[in-house]
Amino acid sequence: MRKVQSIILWAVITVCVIGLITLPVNLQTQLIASTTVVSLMAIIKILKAGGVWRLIALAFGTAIVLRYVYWRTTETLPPVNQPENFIPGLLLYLAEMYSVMMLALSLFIVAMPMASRPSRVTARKLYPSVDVFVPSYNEDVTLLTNTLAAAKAMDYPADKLTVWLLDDGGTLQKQNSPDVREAEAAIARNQILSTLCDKLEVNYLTRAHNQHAKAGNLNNGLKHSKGELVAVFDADHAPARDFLLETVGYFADDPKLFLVQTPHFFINPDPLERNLRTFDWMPSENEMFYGIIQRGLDKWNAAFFCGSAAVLSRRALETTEGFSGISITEDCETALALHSAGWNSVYVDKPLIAGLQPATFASFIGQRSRWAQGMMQILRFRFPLLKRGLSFPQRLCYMSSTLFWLFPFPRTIFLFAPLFYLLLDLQIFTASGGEFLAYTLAYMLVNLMMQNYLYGSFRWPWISELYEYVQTVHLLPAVISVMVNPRKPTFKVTAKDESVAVSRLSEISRPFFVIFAALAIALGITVYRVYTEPYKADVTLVVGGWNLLNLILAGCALGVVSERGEPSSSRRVKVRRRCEFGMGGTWHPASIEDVSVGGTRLQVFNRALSQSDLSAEAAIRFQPHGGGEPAMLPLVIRRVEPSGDATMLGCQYQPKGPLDHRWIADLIFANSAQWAEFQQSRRRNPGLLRGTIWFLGLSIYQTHRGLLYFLLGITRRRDGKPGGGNSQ
Amino acid sequence: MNRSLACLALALTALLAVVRISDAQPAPFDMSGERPPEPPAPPPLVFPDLSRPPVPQDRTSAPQRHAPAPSDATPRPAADAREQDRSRRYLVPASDLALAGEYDRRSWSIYLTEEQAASPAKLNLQYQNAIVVAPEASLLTVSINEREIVRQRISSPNGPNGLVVDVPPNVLHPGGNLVEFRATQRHRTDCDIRSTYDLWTNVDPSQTFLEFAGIPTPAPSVTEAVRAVGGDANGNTEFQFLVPAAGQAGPTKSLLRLAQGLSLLSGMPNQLFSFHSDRLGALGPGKFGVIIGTVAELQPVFPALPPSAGSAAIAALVKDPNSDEQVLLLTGPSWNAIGAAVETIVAPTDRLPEIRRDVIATQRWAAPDAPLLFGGEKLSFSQLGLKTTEFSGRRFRTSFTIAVPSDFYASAYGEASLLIDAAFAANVRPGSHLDVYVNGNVATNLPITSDNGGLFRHLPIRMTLRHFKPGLNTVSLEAILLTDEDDACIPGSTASTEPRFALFDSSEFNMPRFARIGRNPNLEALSGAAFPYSRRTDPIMLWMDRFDANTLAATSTFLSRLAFVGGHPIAVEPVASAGAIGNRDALFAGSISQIPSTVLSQVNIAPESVATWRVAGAPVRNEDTMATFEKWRTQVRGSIWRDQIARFQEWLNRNFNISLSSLQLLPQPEQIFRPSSNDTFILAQGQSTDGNGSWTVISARNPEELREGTEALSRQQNWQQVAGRITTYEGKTQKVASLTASRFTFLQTVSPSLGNYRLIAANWLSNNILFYSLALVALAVLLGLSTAALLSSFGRNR
Repeated sequence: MRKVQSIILWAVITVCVIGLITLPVNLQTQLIASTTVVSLMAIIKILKAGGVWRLIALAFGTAIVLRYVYWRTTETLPPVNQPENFIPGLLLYLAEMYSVMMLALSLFIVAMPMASRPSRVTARKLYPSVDVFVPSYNEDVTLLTNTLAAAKAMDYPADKLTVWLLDDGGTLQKQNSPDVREAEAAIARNQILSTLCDKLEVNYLTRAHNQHAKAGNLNNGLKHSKGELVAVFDADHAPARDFLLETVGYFADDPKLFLVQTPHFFINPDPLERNLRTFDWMPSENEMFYGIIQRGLDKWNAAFFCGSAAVLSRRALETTEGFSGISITEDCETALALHSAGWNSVYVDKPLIAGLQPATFASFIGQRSRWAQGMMQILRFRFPLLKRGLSFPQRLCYMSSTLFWLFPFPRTIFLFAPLFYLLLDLQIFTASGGEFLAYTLAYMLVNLMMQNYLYGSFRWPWISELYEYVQTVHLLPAVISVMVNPRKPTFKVTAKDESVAVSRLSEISRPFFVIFAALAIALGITVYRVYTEPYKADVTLVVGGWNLLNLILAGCALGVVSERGEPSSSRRVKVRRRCEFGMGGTWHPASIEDVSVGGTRLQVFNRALSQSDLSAEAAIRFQPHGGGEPAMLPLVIRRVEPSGDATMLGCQYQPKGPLDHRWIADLIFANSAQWAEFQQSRRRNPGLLRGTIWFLGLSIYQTHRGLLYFLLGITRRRDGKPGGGNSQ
Repeated sequence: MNRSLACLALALTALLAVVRISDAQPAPFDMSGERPPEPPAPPPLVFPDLSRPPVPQDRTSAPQRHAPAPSDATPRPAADAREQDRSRRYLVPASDLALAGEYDRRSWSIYLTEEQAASPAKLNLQYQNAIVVAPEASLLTVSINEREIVRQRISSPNGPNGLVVDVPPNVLHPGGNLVEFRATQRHRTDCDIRSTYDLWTNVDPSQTFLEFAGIPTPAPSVTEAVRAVGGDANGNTEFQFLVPAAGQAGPTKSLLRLAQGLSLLSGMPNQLFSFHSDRLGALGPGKFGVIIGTVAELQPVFPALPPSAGSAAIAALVKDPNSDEQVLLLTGPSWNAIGAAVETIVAPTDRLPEIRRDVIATQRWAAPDAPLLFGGEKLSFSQLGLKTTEFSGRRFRTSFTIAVPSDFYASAYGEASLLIDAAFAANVRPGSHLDVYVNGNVATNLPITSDNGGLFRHLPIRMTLRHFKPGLNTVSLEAILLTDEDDACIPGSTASTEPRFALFDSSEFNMPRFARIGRNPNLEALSGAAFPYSRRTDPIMLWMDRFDANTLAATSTFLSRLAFVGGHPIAVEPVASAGAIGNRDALFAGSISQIPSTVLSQVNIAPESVATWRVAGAPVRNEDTMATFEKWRTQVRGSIWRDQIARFQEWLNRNFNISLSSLQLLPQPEQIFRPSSNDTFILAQGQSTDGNGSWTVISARNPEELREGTEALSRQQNWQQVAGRITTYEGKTQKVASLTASRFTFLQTVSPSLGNYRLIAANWLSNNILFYSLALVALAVLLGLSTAALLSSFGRNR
């Protein structure tokens, strides 16, 4: 009853709002109204008012956006009898309407996201049996060892926990490959991994054929196991000890639950973060998704499976005959199928795994192409809006998730639209300067403010635009190709363990320089035309300003595609942990300062070490997170730095066998709290103004760096040295 | 020199006319249908001079220039002059006709009877032009019914220059005849835009007429005669009533109804009515005599009554023995019978208020009739009377007239659109522009930005409806064309005939649907379409101070004007006392001292002005005080802060037309109006005491000024300026001023519909800017709250 009342009330108010917004009031009224609303929104934002004020601020923003849409629709389209203006004008209009629609969908999703759920670690009483699947295709053995060791080390009754390595790199199909080299590699891999698994007490499973890629591999795992629950970790996603304790309990609460998803936390930067050096202090790209969007989806019971770091119910999976595999994003597709079959999902907003993400720009683009193409396939084959069994909010949620990947189209249009006017003198947007001020500027301000208000501490100003732009250049063809040939794309595993040794331009950087040059020329033309054609300087300035904005983004993108060389192959994670350092049979008190998958930095007390100790073998002893016997991990000293009465040591692990990887995993991955802390440390909202100024500075610097790399690349090539394009 | 030549020519033509008239057989009265037999010729009578000339002094002097004034000494020459005068048909329906700029075109239609159309005619034309008009490149053409009658180089800078041409046979025809004056003018030396404003040709209306050969035959019917009445040398049309019973209340209703009917039939722009009790004034072209009264009343002043008049009502054209002119005789045994006779003339002009007009009649001074737009119309320029024009000068201007209904309520938000079909040549530089004016105010402009010439095909330009008002509106298009040739300005380059610009008549004007609701007070709606009285089926109450000739003339002139713009006669019910009116719609006419004080307070005129205005008048209003104050404010240097604020205000005002006053929440209470001593006439509108009726007051200090004021204000050019809640007229300076209404009530005019309410809300909110913001904020807050409620009852919650 209360529901019906609130729907009726909301509908009546909405009709009134729409009625008021679609009144054709004059420009003065609009100007005053937009000034008032923008000011009020700014006040709410500055006061950081939450709760119901959040929704009021969003309603303010919505009102201005709808005013813009009304005006844009009724007054600004070029006349149909001028096709040269009308067609690009309509495209631009559609691109803007797409943006507005996506804004509406995301408002719906994140208007009131679920609060973080309380920890379940201590509440556990029942322990259902769990199969842990680690699907692998071609990942490096060390990486797998760490992941498997971490999985094995999770806090859970040992008899209820079975870890499976699902190896698709050693299938019979591969072992019998006509390509001898591939066959030999597969056979070797099969053997090495089998041994490894034996030692780690993990089940090794492979299959005859590589059918249906990852989905097929997981289904094969399902066929051979029988635990009530299935946890899935990508080969490079190592779980923390409390992973199962935090997630499994939800299945007892809700018998119709099919999924508990947790965030993906990455310990290495993506190419943008690495090349722009923002990893340590700016929130990562995916934090917006895992920090707020999944929580929003969770409100509508629409949190979906992201391929890893999740627990699924076997009972649920059996109703849909396992994981779905029509698209190349089997994870989302599976979740869609189960949601539409009436199953529920839960999202736990706490990083419980640490993983790797693509390090080079090219593999980053490869990964995103897969996501975009997969989502397009879902849109095509499982059109969520009309999918039976989904609730209406779920339909909207899935539409939002899939339609998001159409962004390359509007992004391309926004990029080139100013050029239509600046280079071709076409009038694709008919409005006066005053109207631009009262409608467009207000709309843009409100848009930025809403974005900042919603995602402020997860996404800084202009970063979304930058990410979209750098992806657009290569994603546009990918999305078009999947639209033309929806069944063509195949699952490609993203390489994540690459590193960049030498500073160089990405091998797919050329289009960015071409676009940058075009926009820079357009900027020159703008200046020229402002002086030579003063009678239309106002329009030229507005369009030129827009082009300048594109140029700033494009300039920043030059920095993104200029790969910085990085000496260290893996990321260090700061930890503070007591240990004992042993060398030559004696043990000294020491502390672990930071760790990486390859080594650690120690501070050793009461023991003078000198350069002569380099390459000496040593070991550390420490108490593992899981308790029990102290762990001992062999090391080799690589660097010695005396500091006061202590000595800083750089050490490399020397694991004697797979079991030693348990201790490496314990050092790095066991403690999930450190990931959350690290994320929290980056979650600051610089605000719209400071964020914009910061971005402008960043862009100027990155433009300069990108152009420098470009010139260096040319000189190197001229000198006959291998330039851009070599990847190590 | 020239002038004397012209006089000589005129004297010659006058002589010729006299000769011809004497040759012609005097035409007998056309006896048609119900009309009585010809009355016996009345005995010749000599009248003493009228104490007061029938028309104001400045107007009577004009005809005397070409014709000797009728003198009472020798009746015969006076009759000649009258005869000669009678054969004229003045062409220009205004006191002046100025063709200005590089291109100007006026057209209107004149109504000719069958006899006039059939008789040979000459066109007399006299004009003078600015000295800077280059004769070799400037052309004046006059066409009648699209046949060019005059085509002349404009070369009369030193004084008025006249010419006479024969109108070819078969050009004129009975009924409406389209007259067009067109001037193409170029500057002798200068090529800039500014110089085009120095170009003018003034046509002298008093010397511009058609002259028909022979004694004009009387019109075949009353209607025909009234339609063909035309204007006099000043463009006025005067209806003179001989009413021996004037001064009594009884006949008033019939008289006012007749006046309105005559006004509607004649369709002339500047009409006035005068009342006489014993004899008519001088008649002639543009003057129409009416003799009205019962047989008993008329016997003393008009003895030659037809015998049947004693038993039945008569409405007939007869020859007035006093003036020898054809006059309209309305008589009968009683005023009731006369009322029936009046109906035979007026009834055809009746129109039910529910029946929509699609045009407002303007063709007697601006052809074609203005289409009345109710929203949603698309009119091509050819339908609006414009023609495809190629233009070789630098400033092209052309206009058309459209009308909107009295309940037009879209001036704050509305936008119409023009779909322009035009072309400009390659030598037209970017920076040139096409401007659109509405009633003289800029409504929009279209910059020309191409270097290489261009062709607009139905290019839409949005134009604000801000300057539209109920009734007639003039929309002008002006193209300002800049070229390098004009910058260089080589001698003779202005004479170039190579077209630079063309405007095609396939261009369109699109009127969107607009909000429709009546307002009270709203004198614009009154002057534009006699709102709200023209929409009433019940008679409106008429209160008159007294029934003397002046007040009657003022009331008739005013009501006829209302009937004319309203499109049908308005039924009135004279009442003796203001108390009888109650809250019904009413019109009050009289000296200020006699107007009931409740009425004055309803129209926000200070009751004490009864005394002050009559004696000395309130101190002269200084309308420029605000402007002077503003000027001083800019002179005074304030603090930087105040300067900045002032500068910001000015910027807002300049760019967005927003001032502090547009941000007020409550309308200012109406200021009590005190007429100044310069004002000679007031037209004011307000609500009845309960707010349901609309009360209109016309008042002056005395009946003479009331009549003069009404006559002056009813002239087409002044009437167009009637606006707001109070309009005043200064007799001395002939200035019309208005006070805008800030508070008014709404009157429902169309059946309720959501679409209309929406548009009304849009206009109201566009006028009351802050309310929109407030409403938006309030609704957004409500939306936020209800969304919060909705979200907490849907989906998952902790």
